Amino acid sequence: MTTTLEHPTNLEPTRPAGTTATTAANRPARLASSLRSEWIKLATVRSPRAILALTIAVGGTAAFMVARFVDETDVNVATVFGFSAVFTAVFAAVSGILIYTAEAEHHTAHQTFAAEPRRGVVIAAKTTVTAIYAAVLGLSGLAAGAAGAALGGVEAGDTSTMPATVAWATGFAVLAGVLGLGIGLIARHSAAAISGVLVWWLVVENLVSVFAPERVVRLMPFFAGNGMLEIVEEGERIAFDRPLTSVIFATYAIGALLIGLAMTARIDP
Amino acid sequence: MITVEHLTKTYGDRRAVDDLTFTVEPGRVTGFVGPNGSGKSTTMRMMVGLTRPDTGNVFYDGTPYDRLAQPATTIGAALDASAHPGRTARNHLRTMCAASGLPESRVDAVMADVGISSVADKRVGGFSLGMRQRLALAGALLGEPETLLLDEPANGLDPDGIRWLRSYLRDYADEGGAVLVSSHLIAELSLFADDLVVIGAGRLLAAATVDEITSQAASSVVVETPTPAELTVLLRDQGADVTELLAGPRLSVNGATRSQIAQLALDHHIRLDELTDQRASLEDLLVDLTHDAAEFTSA
Repeated sequence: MTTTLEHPTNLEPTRPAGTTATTAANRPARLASSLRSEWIKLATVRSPRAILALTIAVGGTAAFMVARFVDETDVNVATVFGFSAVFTAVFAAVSGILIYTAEAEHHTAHQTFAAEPRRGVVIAAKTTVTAIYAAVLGLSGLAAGAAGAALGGVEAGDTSTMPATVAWATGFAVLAGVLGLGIGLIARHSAAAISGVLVWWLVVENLVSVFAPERVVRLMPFFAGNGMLEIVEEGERIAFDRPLTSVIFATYAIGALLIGLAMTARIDP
Repeated sequence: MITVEHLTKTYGDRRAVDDLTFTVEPGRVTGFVGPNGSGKSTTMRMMVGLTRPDTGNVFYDGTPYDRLAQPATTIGAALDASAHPGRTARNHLRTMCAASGLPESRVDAVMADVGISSVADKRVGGFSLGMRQRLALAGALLGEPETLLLDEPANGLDPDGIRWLRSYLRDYADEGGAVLVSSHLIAELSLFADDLVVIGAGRLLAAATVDEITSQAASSVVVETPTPAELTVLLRDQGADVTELLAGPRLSVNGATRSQIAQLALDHHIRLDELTDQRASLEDLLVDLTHDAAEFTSA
């Protein structure tokens, strides 16, 4: 095939001194813009509200059922209110996944990355929003748990342990959300990412723990994550202490996020 | 002004865009035309940083896209009509406004501009493709950009919507904006574009004004006569290429002008019932230009 017509214009580029070019000074403003955009995205679809409602319902119901029907001496508000933290972490992970996969599947990532070409800025904003939303889920689940336990008619118990439980359970939810976001960035497909996480969390780790040695099991992500809640039975305590389990789980979460960031930077949305 | 310089993109062993160079001038509508799979969308994605070129650059008045302080005020891009189906049109545009650091007051203004104010608070999932196209255009207009980049914006629009789009883009350019609009329909583009950039298999095939490209379309003369065989012999003796047309005793003649044919018929007392110039359509021209480069062709 031949070029049949002459090019009509002079192709000599004109390059001014870069008066419109981005400078380091406006990066905080761009991050703030991305944060605001991500927050509006979260607040203007139904799934985050549905997941929050589910977290509250599960947290309240689980605590109420234990308080109402389990007849043991150590059942009180302080020991029961955090029972649903594992479910909350699952919901946080699913939310983190959806925060990116919904964009990938509906092709709105095109608009997002066209508005902010620095993809790291967008991912930083998404991570921040995910962490805040996961913290809200964590705290809401715990508040609902406390209310459910109280409605179940049990005593308050030793409330001095509650702040620590709140802190670790919320931290677990936040890290689960970040892990979910990382997996969403890697998979870019909601069903694949959600089913992958759930199967690993609820099936694979349980199967592996049956035959794998203790030194391996306690390094698995969700086993470590559960260790942050100290929900392992006394006689089976093989997890590291809370700070170390949180470091192990955070390593997985940040690792997934960094892999997702690298893939997002290299692969076309 | 947009300057596209030697843009190249390869996927595996397939070269989607091959050393593509062209410019888009302010105050003009530039049609970007080529068959399916010719690399139009890939080029446009590279122009807004969504796809990384292997080689080449795109400059907006000399500045690369990723160095623009506020890209939305320089270039408004509508590359597809996508939006989250559960979000309302207004909220979709609010997310775009926020991402670009623009005031939310622009949302109502652009919705009024493209005629979707009445569905501002409806979820996008219930929109027709034409309404989504208008929403995409609204998104591109948020930053009151100097340049519009639109990929097949007429897809899904009804005839009234297409006429409105043409008029809107024409006015936009007349007010000094630069418009690059892609389509595989060259005739549609020729109705309102000033310049055409034609590509096939990722390569530049032609870049010129619409008038220059139109003038390249091959022409022939259609002749109707009760004695086609006699006229055919005479014309072929003069070196013309004559084809008998299926409909009636008509001939298509290349290589002789209308007046030459008329004189020849007069000299030999041959009656002519019709003698008309017939210019090849722009579609014919596009097919001619891109046939060798088209990825998908009919048998």
